[in-house]
Amino acid sequence: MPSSLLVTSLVNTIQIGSLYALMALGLTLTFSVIKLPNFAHAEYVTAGAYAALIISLAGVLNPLIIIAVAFLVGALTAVVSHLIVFKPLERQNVSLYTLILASFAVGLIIRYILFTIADYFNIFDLRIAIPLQILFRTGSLILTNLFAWVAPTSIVLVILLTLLINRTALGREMRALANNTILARVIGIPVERVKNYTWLLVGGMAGVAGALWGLQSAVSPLMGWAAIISVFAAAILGGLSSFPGTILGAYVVAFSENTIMLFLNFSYGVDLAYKPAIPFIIIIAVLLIRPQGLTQLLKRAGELGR
Amino acid sequence: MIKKLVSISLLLVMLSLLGAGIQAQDDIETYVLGIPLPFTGSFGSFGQDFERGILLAVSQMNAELEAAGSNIRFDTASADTEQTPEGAARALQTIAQTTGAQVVVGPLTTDEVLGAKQFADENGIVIVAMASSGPAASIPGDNIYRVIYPPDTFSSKAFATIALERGHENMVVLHVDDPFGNGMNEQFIANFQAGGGGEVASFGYAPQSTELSTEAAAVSAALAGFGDNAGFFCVCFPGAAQAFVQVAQVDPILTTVQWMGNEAMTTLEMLEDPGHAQTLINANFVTVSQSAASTPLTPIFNADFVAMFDKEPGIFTNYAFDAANIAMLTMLAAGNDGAAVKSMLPFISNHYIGTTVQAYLDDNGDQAIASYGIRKVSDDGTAFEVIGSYNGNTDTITYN
Amino acid sequence: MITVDHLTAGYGKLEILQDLSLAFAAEQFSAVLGPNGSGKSTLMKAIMGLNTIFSGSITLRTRELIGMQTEAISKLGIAYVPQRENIFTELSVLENLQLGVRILPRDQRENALNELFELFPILGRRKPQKAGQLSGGEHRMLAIAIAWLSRPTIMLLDEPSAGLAPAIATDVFNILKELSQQGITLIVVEQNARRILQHCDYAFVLREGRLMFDGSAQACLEDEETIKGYLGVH
Repeated sequence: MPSSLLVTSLVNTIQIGSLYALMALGLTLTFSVIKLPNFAHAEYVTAGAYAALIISLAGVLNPLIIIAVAFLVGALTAVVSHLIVFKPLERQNVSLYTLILASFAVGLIIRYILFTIADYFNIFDLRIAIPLQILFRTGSLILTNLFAWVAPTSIVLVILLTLLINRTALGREMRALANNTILARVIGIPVERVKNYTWLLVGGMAGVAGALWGLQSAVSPLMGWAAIISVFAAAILGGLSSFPGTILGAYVVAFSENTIMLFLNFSYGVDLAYKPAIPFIIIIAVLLIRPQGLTQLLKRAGELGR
Repeated sequence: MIKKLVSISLLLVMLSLLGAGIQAQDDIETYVLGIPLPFTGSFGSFGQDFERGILLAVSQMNAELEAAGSNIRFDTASADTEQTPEGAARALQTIAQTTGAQVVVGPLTTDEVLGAKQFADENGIVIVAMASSGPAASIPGDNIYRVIYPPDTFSSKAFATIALERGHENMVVLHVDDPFGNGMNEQFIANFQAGGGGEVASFGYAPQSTELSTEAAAVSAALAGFGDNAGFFCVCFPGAAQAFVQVAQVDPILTTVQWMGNEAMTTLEMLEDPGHAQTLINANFVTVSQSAASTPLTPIFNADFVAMFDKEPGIFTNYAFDAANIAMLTMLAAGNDGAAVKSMLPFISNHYIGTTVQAYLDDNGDQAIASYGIRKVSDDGTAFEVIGSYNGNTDTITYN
Repeated sequence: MITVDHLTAGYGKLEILQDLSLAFAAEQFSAVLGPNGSGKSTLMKAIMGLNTIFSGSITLRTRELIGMQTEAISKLGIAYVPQRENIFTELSVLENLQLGVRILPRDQRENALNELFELFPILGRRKPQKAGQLSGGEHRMLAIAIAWLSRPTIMLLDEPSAGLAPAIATDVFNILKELSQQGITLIVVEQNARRILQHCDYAFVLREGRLMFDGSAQACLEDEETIKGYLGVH
């Protein structure tokens, strides 16, 4: 594989891996705190992307404002889907399967609402129109202002979210809820409020990921759905419960889809059209070989380091 | 409760008898035109626009029939193909079983057309497709007719001829991994090499991809490997093309080679981002398209469309309009019967001039007249403009 | 203080407590005894709003608890230490304790923690450690500590000495005595009847969801029939 290709694919890995991390952390958080593998997560991403696209078309080109609006819309979509669908279902003590099916349904509903909006304004496959500039160029390494927005914003948000989870009272309560829901209730943690905050964060992060995705690619009603399997693969690599594992998983998936895929293409002629199969292969491999994901591996590495 | 149900059903029976009575009195015969198109998915806006084109044709035809005192009227029945072959088969089945339609206008892509083929062949339903062009659906004797848009046998040859004429020794192709993209790729390679071209490196991408940075990296590296005199040919759907150009515009190799691309990627959305438009201008991007041809009927169609729907028709919408007209004319001549329509459709097609070009069907039931416009991005980057033409039947390029 | 009146409760469709009526007096140390499956734990969960109530009522002073959310019940000053899964194993010991004091006003939290480390010096030394890594005895101490930190007026403990080595079980009983002396109303489910009857004021004996005995600890100890019939000889 030519070295220029390696460099480009590593840049892509960082950029796409950071976006996957942003989405996958939300998924892991929903799974551990809310106890729901939420397939509608994809649509919070798309909702955020469309919010960002629409205000950018309206002339707002300040990336910070775009990101803030995407956060709000993603968060709102998530909280509303919780209040209208998931919370009432939880009240009825339905099974996990019912919740998963409901999350599919919620996802479909949001997706087709977005389709309707996109069709009405005729905004398919558009990019959030922040002009592209090359910031840095040497040999085959090219960094654009979009890279400068996408990767650092995702990484900063991932760090902030990790700090929030590990260092704040709210984060402690979220982890307590994830660890032992009954005891959390018994000691008087306001479970519903913590859940609402969780949905808010999860949806907001997904919305921002959507806006960033729309900055570097194009916005369509299917974009979130197209990414969700990779995001699930990242979360499953993290054992669906570990935050460091999920972040690592996100970069592993992005590395496989970019660098490893290109290597296979160049060295063995594997068609690039197999790229969407990679996350499935990862999911199946993890479930068969290490259902606990990378978490134990990370722990062991941590213990060795001590 | 039961009493209520009984009375409601009695009422319904009476109403339907009444309806039948009215129909019998006026002696109106209704022919149903099925519309299996993708109304959801990323081609949803295409499907909806095509449906409008068909509805326009039907309403014009009905008005003429009524004025002439005919007792025949056309009605339509739409079903969503979900942009997949399975969905297309389901859509066709739904239409056939709920309305008894013998003729459908659609589906859109070659993938969907092939998905619907088996049900159509087995049940004698005639498929009149407006925009499918993949060589994979060029099959003699089956129920698929592609009346307006010529198969990519022609356009792939046009692209090969342009590539050779541009002096490309080697080519890199990025194509969607479906029957349309694969067919275009294979035929392009065959034509390019038959004309004296060298090696071709091809990369397929998965149809629903929204992010093509890996593909762009691979294309760039392959181009770099070929060195000078290599060209790039993109066979992409609009969304993927957008995502590809997004990453390609800063690529050191892709920004220095010449590009060609299929017609479907040349939507106006593609030019909305000035950076994208500039990239295509710098790359000397050209496409060949049948839609560049026009007849005296083309402006009339455009005006009628705007009058009826209060919006401009999208790319290929007039193809749907023409396909619907050919289907209806054949049904008027042959009756509402699939076998008769199948038998007569080539004859009617060959005597039809619509909004695009004369139709002339070959043994596969495909358009055999290929007269393409060669188009590039205008200097101000706001539109695609015609700079020449390609005659598919003589394989000659003429620049204006 | 807590009055249970004609309570029928269980899990899902299964009825375990059958028309049970009893009352726990304020500032008393009450033991709930009985063989396995007699409904002791079910009674505790019913008070905390954690299972299915078919009929009857549970009142704290005059306040009806049935229908209230568990979170709200805990805010009334009732702390509950489940038999299992009674700490947050994935969190550090300190985080567990911080969750324990979260219900207190901000300015009292520091004090409460300091007092706790006097009562349970071992937990002070284990602060940064992950709670799941504690030994059996430390684990039990932490569970009791979390409950105690919320400054409850009533504590429900489900088999606090089960599975512990005798020396550590003694520590637990000493702590219970200490808590009782602080004026906390204790309601303790125990298998080790003879042991707890040495310490508690009052005893209830359940069997198959019904009340079999109700009287002072002394009376219970002297009631041979109850001891032999329902509690086994310990």
